[in-house]
Amino acid sequence: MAMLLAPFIPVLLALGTGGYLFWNHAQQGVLERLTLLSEYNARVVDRFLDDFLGDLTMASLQLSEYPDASGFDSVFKTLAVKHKGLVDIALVDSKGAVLAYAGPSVYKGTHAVPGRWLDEALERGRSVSSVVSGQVGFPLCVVALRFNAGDEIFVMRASLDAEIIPPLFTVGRGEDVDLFLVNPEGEVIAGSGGQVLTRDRALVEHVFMDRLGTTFRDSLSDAAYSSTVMSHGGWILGARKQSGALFSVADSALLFLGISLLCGGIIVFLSSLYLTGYVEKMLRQRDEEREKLREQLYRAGRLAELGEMAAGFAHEINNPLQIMKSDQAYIEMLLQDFRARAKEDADFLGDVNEMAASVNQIKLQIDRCARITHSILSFGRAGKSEAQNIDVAKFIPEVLIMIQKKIELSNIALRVEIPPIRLVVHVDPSRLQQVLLNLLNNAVYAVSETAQIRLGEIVLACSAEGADMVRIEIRDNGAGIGEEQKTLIFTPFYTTKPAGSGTGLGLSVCHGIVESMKGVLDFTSVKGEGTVFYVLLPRVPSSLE
Amino acid sequence: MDDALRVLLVDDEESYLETAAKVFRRKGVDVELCSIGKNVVEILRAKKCQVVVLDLKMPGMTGQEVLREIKGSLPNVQVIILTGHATSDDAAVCLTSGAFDFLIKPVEMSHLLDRVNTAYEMWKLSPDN
Repeated sequence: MAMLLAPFIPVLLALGTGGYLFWNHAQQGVLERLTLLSEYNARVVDRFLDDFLGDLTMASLQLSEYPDASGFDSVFKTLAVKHKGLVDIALVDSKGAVLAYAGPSVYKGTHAVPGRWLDEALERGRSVSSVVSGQVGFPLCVVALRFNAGDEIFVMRASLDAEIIPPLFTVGRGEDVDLFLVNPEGEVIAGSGGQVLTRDRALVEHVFMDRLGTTFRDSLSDAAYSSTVMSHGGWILGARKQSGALFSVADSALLFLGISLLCGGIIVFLSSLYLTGYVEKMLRQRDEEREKLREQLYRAGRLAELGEMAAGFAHEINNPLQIMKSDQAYIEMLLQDFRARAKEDADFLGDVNEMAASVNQIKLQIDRCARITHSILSFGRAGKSEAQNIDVAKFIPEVLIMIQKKIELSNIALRVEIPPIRLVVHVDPSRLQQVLLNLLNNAVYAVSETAQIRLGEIVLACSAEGADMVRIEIRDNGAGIGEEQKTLIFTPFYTTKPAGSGTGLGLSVCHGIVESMKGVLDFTSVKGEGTVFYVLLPRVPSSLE
Repeated sequence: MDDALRVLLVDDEESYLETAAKVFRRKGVDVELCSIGKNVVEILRAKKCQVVVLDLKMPGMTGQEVLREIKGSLPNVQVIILTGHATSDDAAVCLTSGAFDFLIKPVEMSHLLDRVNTAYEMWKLSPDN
């Protein structure tokens, strides 16, 4: 499972990095846009106020020439034509006493609303002050201008409806951005959403006031802010974009990333599934091969050991056998004499003949022992073979001649499969012949065991095994080899034949011979169905023939 | 010179020597016995044997060494190797060292006698005789 998940890590890293960079870029874009919007709109509002102040200046020039109430009314009318949001104007002296008033309220007297606007206007010449809740009930923005008429100082005070500011705001179509004008105290003067003079702190966060003049993203309120401090009244123009809107910018990107992740994930998953399976299969195959090799080595080692031991025994047994042989020969000579002497004595002659038969039995048993020891010795025989290049296709028929009669007499069908290619091996022909005859004899024996059940068939086939080996196999449909026999089959003296008819050395001798040819002798078998013995021998490349 | 067949049997198995000698003598063949390799050449010179039946694995001097010594000093003497410790390498070495034949124990005494007689014929053919 870990192997399956591991390939996801680079995919996730790549997509994550890409996604993060894109997100950053998108966020940066949004912040830049916010900055632009706040700066632009701050300038627009500034310009509007400049314009209004300019008009007030023009009016003050007119007033300084005709400082009476009738003139004041016409000034108000002229201004109101241009500025729809103009609520009223008042002329006050430096003490704040109202000299003249024009507007919707019927206002007479000397009382004026004192405030910072007066101080500021007197001090700096002009004042744009924060919104106050006007006497008429809606929020007002007070613009004041100082002017001189002769030696006297007057201040012209104009109230503007704050609602005229939001229409000045410009926001791109479809842009989900709130713009609002804030006074230095943090009160909203006007907002694109219609908010006016509210102390609703949810609208403007502390953090906004703390970071005036900058653009930033506040993760706490999940919104991006940009603010520009205006030249008039210390007002601030703020722009806000909720992060939800920010997300919408990245929505398509997220979708794309998601699909990429999904597709990439599926591809990676499938390919890693395939690769994992492949690697697992390879590993298992390697393990099996190693196990097989280990078994072969173990078997070869054990066989060599056994062979060596058996050869030692054989050598030691040959000497006493020779003594028996010579004694048996001597006894036979003596018996010959006895026979001559017993010519007239029938009883004695009978005894002598009985003894001769007994001695003959001894001779047969000595010969049997000799056969065993000689087989063992040929098994342990090493080196010095007359190896030569043999064309297997020509060699096999020669071998078959020797056993064909026996096979035919046993009523067994013999099939030979030889491909029309040259398969040359470099071995001692007599030894290869010994191996093949041994295997064929075993096949005949195996088939004869099931002769009553089915017609026996033996196939002798040769073929190329890979690029550098030749395979000769002998298939039979005989009794097959049982599981418990399979491990013992190459062991010296192991035989399934009745006592006396096999030494149990044939296959171990063959194994030794094939091994000395740098080949492999092995088999596959299904009990009750048949057996395939195969010999793999190094193939002589046609260039070296 | 007495040319009648005289065989020297060399083996460290005394009981084999005794029985084999009886069989040979009954067949009318004169036999000398020896169980120690280094005495072989000396006996051959003294008894004038034409054929030696020689074992390979013996204590002291081995059969191969004895064979080389015989062929070195008495090249006409025919040597039949009769051994239980037979490998094809041994056979090749012995035959190239001049052994007349290489037999593996146990061997039929009649066969051994045949080979001895053939070796004797061979000895007769050698130019010095």
